[in-house]
Amino acid sequence: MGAARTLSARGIVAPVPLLLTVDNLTVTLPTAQGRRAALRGVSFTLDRGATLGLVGESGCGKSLTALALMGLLPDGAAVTGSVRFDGRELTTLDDEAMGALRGNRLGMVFQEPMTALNPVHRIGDQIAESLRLHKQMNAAAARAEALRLLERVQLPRARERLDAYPHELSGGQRQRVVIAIALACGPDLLIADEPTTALDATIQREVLDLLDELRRDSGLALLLISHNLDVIAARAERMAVMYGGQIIESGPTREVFERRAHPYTRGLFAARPALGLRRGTRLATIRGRVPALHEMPHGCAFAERCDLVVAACRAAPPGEQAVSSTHAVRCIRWREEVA
Amino acid sequence: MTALMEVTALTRRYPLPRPHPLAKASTLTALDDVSFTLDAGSTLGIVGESGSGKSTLARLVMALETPSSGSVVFEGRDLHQLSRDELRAARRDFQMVFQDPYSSLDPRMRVARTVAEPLEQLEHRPAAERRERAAAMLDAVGLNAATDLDKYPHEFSGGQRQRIAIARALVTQPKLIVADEPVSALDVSVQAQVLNLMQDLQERFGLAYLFISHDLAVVDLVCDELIVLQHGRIVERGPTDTVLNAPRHAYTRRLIDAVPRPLWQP
Repeated sequence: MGAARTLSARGIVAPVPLLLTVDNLTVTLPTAQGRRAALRGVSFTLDRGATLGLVGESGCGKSLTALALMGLLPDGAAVTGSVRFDGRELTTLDDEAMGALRGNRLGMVFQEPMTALNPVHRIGDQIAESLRLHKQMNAAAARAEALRLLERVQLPRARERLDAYPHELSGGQRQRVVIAIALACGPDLLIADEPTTALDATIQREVLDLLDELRRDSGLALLLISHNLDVIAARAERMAVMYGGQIIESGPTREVFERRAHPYTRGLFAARPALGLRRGTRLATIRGRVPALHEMPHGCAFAERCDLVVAACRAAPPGEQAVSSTHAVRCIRWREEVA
Repeated sequence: MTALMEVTALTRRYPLPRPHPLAKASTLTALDDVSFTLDAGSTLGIVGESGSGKSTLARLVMALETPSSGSVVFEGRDLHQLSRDELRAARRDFQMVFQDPYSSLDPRMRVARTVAEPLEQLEHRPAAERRERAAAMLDAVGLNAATDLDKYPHEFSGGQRQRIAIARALVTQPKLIVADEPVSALDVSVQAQVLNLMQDLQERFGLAYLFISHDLAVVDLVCDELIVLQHGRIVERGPTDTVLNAPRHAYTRRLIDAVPRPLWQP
């Protein structure tokens, strides 16, 4: 992998680098027990116009992955491995160069729109800020562009809303403003970390429709982080499941949903209530809990909770195994079914 | 079955701030003429989006707030007509579990005290006896009384904290638990554990739940009947299967349509 082949204008086959290639990304954090790895060799690729869904439970490393890509890791974090974005290595960029990319070619949308917006500034000014900074627009041009963006994200009565403060908007409207800010400079990659979790179901759908539309129209690449498997199934062609700071299964979403190669993926799916279950059904649960950073075992991080565990699982970290040409799993027992 | 609680024409209006001092005062009707009956040992689900009046209903049913009109009759007594002392004594029979197990527990209080606290208000029993009751409740919710009683909330995960909150709600042996989005803040695998626990406890103690949730798959699993609220009014009600499989109101259909569907045909 690493390069997709496409026809150039002259009809000559030439390799075009993928927009984003994350290779063996490792992040260590200082803890009370010493330095510990919170991301342990994360690798994935994402191309223009595509959506990759990243799923997993609290503490598995989803948000840390997003922060690492954005260069927003906490103080004391150390990064190894590689993040190549449009041909440039991001892990070695200095703060200034990273700052020029962030909010410009890399956009991010967080879960809670109220924390992403500044409560004392009008929303029009907050959108214009990055346009003036990154695109050197004057105030009038930035304001006009802010209005166009608010219309683009379908904020009702956009012209009046330019001068509104965040508290005057509903949750769904605020998230649209946050998306407008993230999109202001026409980013190539948008990282959306639980973008609709705080929103009502009907508004969730509208916001996800909007992201889909932007992806189709402008070739935006979307890294969609969610704990909600239904959202991933509805919106991402490819997905990756994280556990213990690693991607433990990845592939086309439909294949992952239908094959469920990793025992943790199976556990997640079984625990999820689905419409139509008989009343009073007890859901399957995953015993035990996620190991803390300082308890991370030498072998498979899921071994203590796994019904298929054998001695070899604890002896060495499982390498990546191919389920198909496009579907990979980190489990030496993936061919086994639970009795 | 007998009616444990009867809610009749419950209405709550809030005054809105006047745009200027001479403007006519206006009000927001958060809950509008809501009536229903909840049977002992059963689960009634309340669905609706933000601003639909779900949480206002919970606060009125819990007698944490006074209605503008209407009544909440619990075991034959109108809660909003009781004196302060009578209401305090009545509270042992209805308790509440909140959405966020991080903010609903006092971080400076050990688990034993947190769980036993509702008893302090009710009975003047020796501390040792209260501790025993707290220990029994921790066992009932699947925590380890021997090791967990003297810990603080920060030593537990989100799912364990929600178990502590449930143990606290159970300690007075209530007949009704009002649960406001009790699993919305939890991870999928933890959510499954808490939903199973709530169902086990219902069978064991004959609890009734007023279960508030925006998650249709969750209410489908645990609720006998559903009420759909929009703008403070009931727009649809009925047995859960009927409401979800054959919705009659356009708003209910919109809620069901908003559940994400896979990109492929399964």
